[in-house]
Amino acid sequence: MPRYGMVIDLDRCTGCRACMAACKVENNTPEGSFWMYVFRFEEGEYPNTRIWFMPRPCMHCDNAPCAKVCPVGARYKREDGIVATDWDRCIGCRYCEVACPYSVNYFNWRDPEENQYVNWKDPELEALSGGVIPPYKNPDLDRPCGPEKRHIAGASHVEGVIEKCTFCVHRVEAGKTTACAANCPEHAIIFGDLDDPASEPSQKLQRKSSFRLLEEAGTHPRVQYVGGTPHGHGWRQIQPAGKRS
Amino acid sequence: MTRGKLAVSMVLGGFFLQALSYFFLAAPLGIPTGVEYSNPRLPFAPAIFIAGVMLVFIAAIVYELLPDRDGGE
Repeated sequence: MPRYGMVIDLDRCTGCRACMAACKVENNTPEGSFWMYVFRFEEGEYPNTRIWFMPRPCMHCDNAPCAKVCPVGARYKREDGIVATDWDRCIGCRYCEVACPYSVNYFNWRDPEENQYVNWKDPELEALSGGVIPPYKNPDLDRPCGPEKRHIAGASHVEGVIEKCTFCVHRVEAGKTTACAANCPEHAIIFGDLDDPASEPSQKLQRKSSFRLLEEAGTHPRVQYVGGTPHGHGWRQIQPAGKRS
Repeated sequence: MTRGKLAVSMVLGGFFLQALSYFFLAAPLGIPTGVEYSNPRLPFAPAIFIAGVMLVFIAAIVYELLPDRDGGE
């Protein structure tokens, strides 16, 4: 049984946010919900400034605090290392959101169809789209996953449930890599079996020193970072992505 | 049973449920070597813990709402 993980090379990341766009298209996430988020940081004062980037998916922790607190077993850790959310079982208590130190959980506040970037029920758009609402939704997202056949893939299924990065479980089960890794033009995001020493992420980890986010929290994340330069003082986030105003 | 005894028994019962779910039904503490360190041993263990917490807090309400033996407020 493979145990999946992700390695992100901060030396290669250019902050283009192609991974964020790919994730949105692949998983049909609602407006303002970023399962993959690329932080853009700036430090120093003009003209001596430095910009650096940090992609942040769900860490799929081995000691997942979100799975520990789920009162109904909707959030659970799979044998292959993926921390999944069964949107059929979730009751929307948001305990996982509180427990997670990485803020990767997003709550579906509104009807998913009304919570997209464009109101596809608008008559003008409806005329353009030929009445197909929304114009595209990945059909794989409704398919039950894993041997336990639970509904864990994709977003925007039901109002009032928590959703988060699934490591593109529907793609992984089909033998593909995650959407963010597949669409990274710099090959900064590498996904694969961390238990296999010959796999690409394992090879990367052998070549470069790595670190994990908030390691002191004891969550044992399966997402590891390599490269990057330690930041100095006075850094600030720039160009945050959010909902359209 | 007086309201005091009822309230105390609810508090003790609540703490018992919390301890039971935290130490014996939830995911074990320790360095994770498998999924058993993330998933609760009983899927609804956190719900039992929450029920314990609720029971403790409801004990105060029960104590305040029930009349005492003398029939006073």
